[in-house]
Amino acid sequence: MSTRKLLLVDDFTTLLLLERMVLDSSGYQILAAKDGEAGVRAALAHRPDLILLGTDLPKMDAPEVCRQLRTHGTTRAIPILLVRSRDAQDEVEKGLFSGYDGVIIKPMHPEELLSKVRNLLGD
Amino acid sequence: MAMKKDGEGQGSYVFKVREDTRRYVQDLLNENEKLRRLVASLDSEKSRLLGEKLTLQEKMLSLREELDRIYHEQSDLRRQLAEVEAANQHYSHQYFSVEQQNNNLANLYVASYHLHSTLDRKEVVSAIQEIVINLIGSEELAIYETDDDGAALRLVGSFGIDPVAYATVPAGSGIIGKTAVSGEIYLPGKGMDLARTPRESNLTVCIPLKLGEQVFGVLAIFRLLPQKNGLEAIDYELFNLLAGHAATALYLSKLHGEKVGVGLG
Repeated sequence: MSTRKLLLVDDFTTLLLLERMVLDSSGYQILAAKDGEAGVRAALAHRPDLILLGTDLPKMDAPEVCRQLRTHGTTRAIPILLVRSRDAQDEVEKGLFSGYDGVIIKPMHPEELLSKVRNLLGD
Repeated sequence: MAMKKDGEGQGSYVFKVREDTRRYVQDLLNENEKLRRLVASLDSEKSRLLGEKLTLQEKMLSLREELDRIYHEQSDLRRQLAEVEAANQHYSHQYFSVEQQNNNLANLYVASYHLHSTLDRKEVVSAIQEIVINLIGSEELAIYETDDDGAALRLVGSFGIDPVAYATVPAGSGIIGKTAVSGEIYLPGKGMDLARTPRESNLTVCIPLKLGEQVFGVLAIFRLLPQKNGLEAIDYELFNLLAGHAATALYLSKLHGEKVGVGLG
């Protein structure tokens, strides 16, 4: 079983519940935050192996969370998986260029979530 | 003297002829002996070759039998391999099916858990919205409750639509109103081609929120997210779950609000 640490940042309780359920049962250690500021604080404090980042977060939006994480040496290399509703290619590409490592498009499918997390972590 | 000399000459000649003949006969005898030995040698070689031929025939027969045996073994192995491959495929399908069921159960569990994790009305409405947005895949929805007299539906929550335009729906009017009366889930292309009102032009599904047989409200889901290619099996499961559990959660939150004196709406 993996002991890798994942940080879930989203203000949707449903998504946090589903992500926690799927990833926890696959052996990952789960941390969660419900807004952008708390997400950055948690990332700096716990240095997770991967971050699942929702969009439209309270207090600090996803691009700013991403920017701040990329400026800190300790969090610069952490892979970030963006969870979003729209799959407009230009927005996704813009997101990728801003430092996201992958995108999960809603509705959330547990098998896709697990597969993308495992791929990014090389598990 | 001359005759004696002639006699001597004849004798010498006869002697010479006799000697030549004797040598010739001896040569013939020698040659014959050689030939006899050669014949004996060839006979021996022939016997040896015949023996070898028989041995080779036996070996060929033995090899053919071995080949037949290997061929049968190969056929058996091929059959066994096909059986193993079929079993493997069967288990693979079963694994995929179980994994799919697990995923579906995860979605249903999360939806149910979230709906019943609170008695706060706003949180229940928010839970219904989140389930539709994140698990079904639509960002246009309306949640209605029936009035006390059952004559109309009143909007209690929405996402991605103009709440004023969708504020009330008379019972029996349009698909939303008819769903409240029939208590049946409206699904397009399922023999339910009801007349739509203009504001229902993008309606994808209409779910009656029921407490037992009593319709407590209606959940209308309009356009699906553009990346979603139609409804999936899990969506129908979620519709059924929402039909029962969302109504219960809304009803309990309403009762709780009345009990603790929190304003509704």
